Formats: sequence, structure tokens, C-alpha cells
Amino acid sequence: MRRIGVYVCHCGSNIAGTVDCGAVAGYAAGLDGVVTSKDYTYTCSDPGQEMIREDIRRLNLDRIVVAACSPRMHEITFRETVKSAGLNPYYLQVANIREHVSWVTKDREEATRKAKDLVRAAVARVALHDALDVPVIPVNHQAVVVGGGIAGIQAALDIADAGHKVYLVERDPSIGGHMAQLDKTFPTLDCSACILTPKMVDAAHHPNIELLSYSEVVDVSGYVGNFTVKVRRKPRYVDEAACSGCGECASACVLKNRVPGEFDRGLSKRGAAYIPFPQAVPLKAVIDAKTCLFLTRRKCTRKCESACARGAIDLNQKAEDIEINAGAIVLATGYELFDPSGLTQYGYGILPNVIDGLQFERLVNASGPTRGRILTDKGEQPESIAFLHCIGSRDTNNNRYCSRVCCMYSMKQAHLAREKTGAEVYEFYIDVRASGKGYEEFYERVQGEGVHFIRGKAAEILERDGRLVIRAEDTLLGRLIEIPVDMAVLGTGLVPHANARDLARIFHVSVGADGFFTEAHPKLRPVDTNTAGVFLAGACQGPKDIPESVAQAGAAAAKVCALFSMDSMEGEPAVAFVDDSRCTGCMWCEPVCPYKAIGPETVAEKVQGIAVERTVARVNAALCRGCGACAAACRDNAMNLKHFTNEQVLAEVDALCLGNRS
Amino acid sequence: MSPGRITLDDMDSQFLGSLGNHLGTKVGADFANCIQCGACTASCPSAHAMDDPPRRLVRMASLGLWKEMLSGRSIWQCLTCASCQARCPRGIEITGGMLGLRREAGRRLGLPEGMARLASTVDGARNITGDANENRALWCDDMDVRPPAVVEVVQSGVRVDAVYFAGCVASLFPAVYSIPRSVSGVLAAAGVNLAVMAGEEWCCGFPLIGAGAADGSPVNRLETLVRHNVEVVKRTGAARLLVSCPSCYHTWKHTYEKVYGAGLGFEIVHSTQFFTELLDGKRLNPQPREIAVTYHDPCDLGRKSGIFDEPRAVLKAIPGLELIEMRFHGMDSKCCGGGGNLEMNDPALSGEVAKSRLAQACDTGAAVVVSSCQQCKRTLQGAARKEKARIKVQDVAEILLQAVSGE
Repeated sequence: MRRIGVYVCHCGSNIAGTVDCGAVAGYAAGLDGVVTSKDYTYTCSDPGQEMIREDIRRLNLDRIVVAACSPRMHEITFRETVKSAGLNPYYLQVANIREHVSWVTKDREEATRKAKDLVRAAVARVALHDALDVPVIPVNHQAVVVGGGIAGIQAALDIADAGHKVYLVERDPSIGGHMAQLDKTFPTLDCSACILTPKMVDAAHHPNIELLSYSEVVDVSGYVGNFTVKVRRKPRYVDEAACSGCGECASACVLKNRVPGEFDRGLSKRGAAYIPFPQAVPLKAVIDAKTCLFLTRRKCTRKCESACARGAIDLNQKAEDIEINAGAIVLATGYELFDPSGLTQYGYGILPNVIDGLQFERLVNASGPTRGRILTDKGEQPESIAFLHCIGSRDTNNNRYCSRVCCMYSMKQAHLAREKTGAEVYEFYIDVRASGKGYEEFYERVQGEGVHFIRGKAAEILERDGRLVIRAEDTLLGRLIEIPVDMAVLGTGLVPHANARDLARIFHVSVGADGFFTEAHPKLRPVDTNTAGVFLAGACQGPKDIPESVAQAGAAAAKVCALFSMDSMEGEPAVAFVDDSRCTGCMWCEPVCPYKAIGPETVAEKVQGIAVERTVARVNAALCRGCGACAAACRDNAMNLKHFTNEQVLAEVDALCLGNRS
Repeated sequence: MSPGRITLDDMDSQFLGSLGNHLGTKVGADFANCIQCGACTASCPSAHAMDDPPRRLVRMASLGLWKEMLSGRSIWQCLTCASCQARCPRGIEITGGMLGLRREAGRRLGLPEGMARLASTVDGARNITGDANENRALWCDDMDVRPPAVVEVVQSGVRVDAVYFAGCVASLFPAVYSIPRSVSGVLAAAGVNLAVMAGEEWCCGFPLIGAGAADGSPVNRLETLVRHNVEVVKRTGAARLLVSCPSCYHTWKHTYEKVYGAGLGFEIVHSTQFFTELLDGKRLNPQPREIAVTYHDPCDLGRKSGIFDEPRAVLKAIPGLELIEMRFHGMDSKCCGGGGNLEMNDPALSGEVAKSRLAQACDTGAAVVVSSCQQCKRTLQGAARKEKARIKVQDVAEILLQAVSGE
């Protein structure tokens, strides 16, 4: 007979306010195997834990049930309690009577009855608990950082500086991300490229960083401390080692100035062979397979080849997959700018001189298509410019969330427009959100520079007498207002990458309703994900400005370094295992395993004295995450999951269903 | 809104909660979510004429300043075109809310004279003009192939493919007779057997909803109309009800089941949907017409019912016809001025809105502005006449019949 102790927690009034904890404890005292049963105000407190330890020693308890909050909250706490009293930590079962009972009803009677049911089930289950040994797994001290924008660069530098090898994987031909496209940064008006490019170069030259540009992660297997990351290196059609970045191929390309360039967001044109932008890292040419005449139609004079003195052009290059072993992964895949063409009332893509926020950045930037001159499509300097806030953000028809950076970037752009052109500038806003350090002061500064702030969401852009007319309500006056301008800049918001969901599947992270990656806890675990060893940095988790992205990248790097401070770590003992005597080797379990942890194994045995070989399923305990899919699929009852054995789970269910209703 | 200080005495905190449900909208329930951005006002075709434009009405309702709000004329200047709602960043049901406020104005302060008159006209004559209801079939009296009335069909036991609900405006305003004539002409050309509701057709209820008079007391007016109309169609055993008026269509499609309390047992089809089906099935053979047209989306059909493609598909099926879109079309389409009973409440404003929309149509350079609504045709044609605009106003049915009959 087991000697079980049951502890019913009040959690202050969280549980006791709804559940009659004394009655539950009294009920539990009468259950089979229960030696002692108590209720207590805060069981997780030091005295609460000491009470359990004391009982274990005094009453020789061998199994413990704590009826309290969710096991996600304090299961580990109580395992430690049990362990410190000399028992195996897995001799504990937590019955969740807070989230599953007291927080979801006000009916005291029903709540108390359900709490009793759950405790009865926990007692039945804990009696069958086995002692489990926690395996020790090694930690690989290499990291993979996915995304080479400011967040990824910062995370890579911080981890590399701590002495760990980092693979920085970037999808585009150059690192730098969106920050490389920006002109000035708010609120300090630092030149974006001036503060970013040194970091890009540092990343490229860091002895601990291996830069994998124009590459994408296509598969991730393994687990924390021991990931295998498969990276596809897309063909550049240029030998990176040989290319000096001179740009002769780009000048020679027969499609030169014919293809809208990504970096200037279509405001300038490039060839099929091109250098992404002057400060690109690596500064290497790339040939765009989607437009190159040779690669698409096999019809081209291949002038790039003859122009390259170093023979670096290789139009036969193929994609190459490499595998990286890593202990941790940082996701820093960033954002995309909201595409406003669906909001036809603003005429983006229909009316000339209606541009998005990043296009304005390129227009005002000295390395941009107009060499920093703000010009309309006719090449004239605008006499007035409107900035429209909340385009695609704070809008149930598109994205409900606030994109957080648009107010500030619109005001920064208003400042630059005033400074460079002296144009009349109108900001159409709903609420100005300027809550960062120095942001409100910047708002005040821009107001003082003569920018007109109109409190009203621009409803539509009309075309009248060759000018754009912004129509809104000045809600502070309660009057309709129509302002003719020469240029309208849409304060387009930030949205998740189009392939964010695919990435989430590859990295086993979750995606929120807004499409961004979800952190493990919104307040207390902001850079962790629900997959151990995978961390988040920057705007892939939600809209962020540069300081926030850099701070989060540092936090993610610190998490990685904390993990790497260990040579080994405790693994999960609750894994699947096979009873060879029952397994027929049908291998139904193999395809249902999401972690590729199951494979066939040949075993030799003697049947009536004759040596025979047969196949059985074998679980790689290091890869198994304990999901139980295999156990459910097994037809022979051969597959079982430790700590969730068929016997334990059935005992729990039987106690719930068959036991006397309390 | 009048200047001066608001006091707690003016603010009725129970007001929003008291509005209750109206035709499936929990009136004002989402007003509290308003962020006062003014996108509604700046999208509203009549806001410039309102004392209290939509944004402020939502605010006043939220604060419970109902005496001032409901006694003003602003709520009666709404075209119910749903432009505000389509662009509201908080997705607030402004149009449904406005109709609920009109009902509330009627309950608390009595309906404005014109709206009360409209309600009693429909009570008495079962149509909006007060004509003898038998006159509803005058439009088809002299047609070569006169579609039978439902009464005849029921008596003779003949099965028809569809019953045609022509609507008050098309049936009783001779200026737009040609729309129902064209609709039935096109269907006849495709060999579809049609019965018309004729004198058995009662107002669909849409104008009463717009008048804040749908409920009525002691008899629920809307329910009376719905029950009658549904029973008449049911008696014929037809599988389909054909509707050409977008407002009737919208009411049949979105309101009737809610009021009737059960499935109607027949399908509601808009004429442009029917036409598209016949064209797809090669049952119509339009002849080429070298003409440039622009299409005006009726609010009740387009923005409010989501039928954008079918009317365009009909036009594109006519060889040689060039469709030039106005800048504001589809979800962005502007009201013709004919919505929300505004023509009765404020004819000058209605005319102004129509003039503005007509100008947008003229800007395309098209020779014809095509709509699929008799009310849009009336208002746009009125504006064209007044402005001496060199643009023809036609209905999709009219232009299709011309193409089919090779006129």
C-alpha cells in the first residue's frame, strides 16, 4: 500500500474563495492510500513546502499530491520539494484546481465537487508513478541566428563576443535589413547607415561569425542544445570568393536599369546582375534568377561573364544545402511593410506621388534614386506634402494592432521634408504615440518647426487639378478638411513576413492572431519561445523600433549565452519507450512522430532455442519530446510514455469516471 | 451640436443600453469602441450638410446626449450608404446604428412629418406612393409577352422558374418602367418563365426601416409586409425570387429570414446574378455594341450585399463594350444621393450628392453611366438633366436587352 500525502492549496482566496478547501482535504483523507491530507493557505511558500517535507520524513510518505494552480506554474517547485525530502521528484502529481476549477466558475458547490474529482484522479494516478531518472544531455556551443537585420546582427555580435561560434543566416544577398534602407533615425536623427554599416562590417569580419547570405533555413531537427539546422545556400550565380564587388557585371548586364530594385522599393531600376546597394555586406554581385535572360530563357549574350575580369560569374551554380549543429537558435526574421494597394481609397499604385513610408526614406536618402532630393514624379520639388498615419494599422479591416513606429517615422519624415524642401507639411493622425525616450520631445520639436498636425484619419485621396487632395475631418474643430498636396506619404504599418507561418513550422514556434511569432510569456519570458533553445529578437515578434529591437537582440543573446554556460543540461525523462516483447515491428509509430525520434531496430533473440532476428521500433530518447502520438498509434500496446503510461492515465480516467461521484 | 456646457443632467448613461436590437444589429453596442478618428465623417457624402456628422453622433450617443441628437436633423440626412462603416477602423456598425437611432427618435420624440406620412401611406396602400396597388403591373400591360401575375399562375397551376419582385419605385414611377420591362424582356429572350407579383406585391419594408418606422405599434409593420410577401411567393411553388431593386434585394436577402423566423424556402436572386447565369449558360447572345460605359455600384447591392462582379460580368459579355471604372468604385463607390429616404427628407442635399457622383462618372469620358438600380438611375438622371451633362444613364438590364435584341 502506498503512503500518499495530499495538500490542498487555498492560493489565498484564489482557490479558497470558490472551493471549500477544507472539505476537499477531508474528502481526500478517505481515499485509498492517503495517509495525510491537509489544506494550506499558500502551499508554494517556504512554510508550505516545509510542511510537505516534514510530513514525508515524519509519516514516511512515498507519493505526494498537491491540489493547487496549474502544473505549468509550480510543478517544478514541488518536484524540488519532494526531491529535497529524499523522494524521486516524479513521485508528485499536481491537480489543477485553480485554472481548471476556481477561476472558471463562481458556483462553490460545483467547484468543490470538481476539485474533489480531480484530487481523487490524482491520487489514483500518483499511486502508479514510477521513479524517473533525469537524463543529462550535452550542449553544443554554436548558435544559428536567422535574419541579418539590426536585431540579427546585434544578437550575432553579442553571442560571438562571448566567445561562441555563430552562423548568421540572411535570406537576401546582403545583411542590413530594413534599417539599411532608412535615412535618419528618430528621435536623434542619426544617419541610419552610418550607425548600422559598422555593425554590418563587424559581423562580417568577426572571427566567430560565419555569414551565410542569400541563404534560407529549410529544416530544423533536434532539440535544445542539439539542433541540426539545414540551410539552403541559394545560387548567386557569382563565386563569392572570387567576386570583388566591382560592379562591372552590373554595368554590363543587358537588363541594366530595367528591373525595379528592391532596395529603393521600385523607385530605381537595376539589372539582372546587380550589387544590392553600395554598402552591402558582403559586397558581392548577385544575379537575379527571376529576370536574368540566360537563366529564364537561355537566351543572352552573357555580357556579365565577359565583363568580369576575375571570372567570378558562374551561371551554372546550383543551390547547396549545408547542415549546422547548433545548441541554440535566434529568430530575427523581421517584418514586411504593409502593402497599401488594397486600400484603394488612398490610390497607392494608381495615383502618382502617393508613396509608402520606406519609399520616402529612399527618396530622402543621399544614396537613393534622387540623391536625396525629395522630388515628385515630374522631377519637381513638392510645395506641400501630407503624411497619413495608421495606414493598415489600428484598423479592423487590416491589422488591429498599432505598428508603434509609424507616428515617429512620419514625424521624422515631416522634419526632413521641412528641412530639405521648406514645403508645407501636414500630418493626418488619430493619436500621436510618442512614448519612447526622447520621443515626446521630438514631437514637440516637429510641432515647433511648423508642421501642421490635423487630428483626423485621412479618409481618401482625391485627384483634383493635377494635385492630390487629402480628405479628412479635423475632429478637433469638427469640420471637414480638404488639403491639396503634391505628395502623399502613407504611414504604412509593419506586418509579419508573408512566410512567417512556414518559418514557424520549421522552427516549431507559435504564431499569434496578428501573425507575429509568439513569445513564451508576454511579460516574463519575452524572448523565449515555447520551443526550448529557440529565441526571438526584433520585429518578428511584433512591431518594434530600432532601440527595442537591439535591446531584445541583446536579451536573446544573453539567453543563448546562459544556455552555453552549461556543457550539459537536464533532459526530459518523460519519453516514449518500447516493450520489445509486445512490438511487432509494424512501424506505424514512425510516421506519426513529429520529431523523427523513432526508427526500426533489428533485435536478435532465441525462439525455442533457435536464433531469430526481427524488427522492433526504437525511440531515440534524446529526440523524443514526450508528445505521446506514438503511444496512441501503437496497435500492440507496446509503445508507452514514461510518466504518462497507459496504466497511469487509465487509472486517472477510471477514478474520474468510475469512482463514486464525490 | 449646440455650444455650451454639458452637464450630467444632459447625459443619460442608460441611453446606449436602452437601444436594444434592431434587425440583427445590437444598436450602438460597439459605439464605445470609437476612437473618434473622423474617417466616417470624411467618407460620408452628406456630412458637410449635417449639424452633427457621424463621428459626433457616435460620440453624442455614447455620452447619452439623446435629446439634442434625436431632435436634430442629422440622423435623417444619413444615406445609409455604409461608406462610413466600410472605412471605420474599429468596424463599428454605424449604418445599422443610425437606423436604430431613427427608430429611437420615433419612439421618444415621434417621427418627422414626412416619415410618419410615408409610414401611413405604406400602411394604407402597401406601397410608397399611395397609388392603388393594382397599378403595380402597369409597366408590363402593353408588353408583347406580358408575364403572368402570381394570381393567374396560382389559379392555373402553371409552374414558373421565378417570381419577379419589381419593387415600388420600378412599378410606380413611369420614368423607370423600362427597367422592369428590360429585366423581364431579357429573361423572356432566354426562355425563362416568370410571374410578376403585380397587385399582390407589397412594399418590401426597406423604406419603413429607413424611416425608423419598421416596428410600428400595435402591429409590427415590417412583419406584416414580410409575411404577406413570403406567403405569396410560396404559393407559386417557385424556387426563386428575382429582385432587380438593390434595396428590395438587400432587405429580402438580409432581413426577411430574421423577421419571418424561418427559412423562406426559395432563393433570392438579383437580376444581375440571373443575367450572369444565363450568359454563362449561353442562353443569351448579346450583339456587339461599340460603346464606352462606366459602372456605378448601388450601395445596397455592392458595398452592402457584396455583389460587385456580376453586373460587370454582364457588361463585359457585350462584345465591343468598353468598361471604364470610376476612381471610386466597388467598396469605394459613392452614393448617388438616393439612399436612406434622403430624397424625401432633404431633396436639395440628395441632388447635391447625385451631382457629385455624376461628375465622377463624367470624368471617365464614358458615354453611359450604367447602374443596376432604378433609384440610382432616377437620381443620376435627374442630376444629368439639371447639369445638362452629356452622359446617358442606363440600367444594366436596359443595356443588356438592347444588346440581346440587337436594337
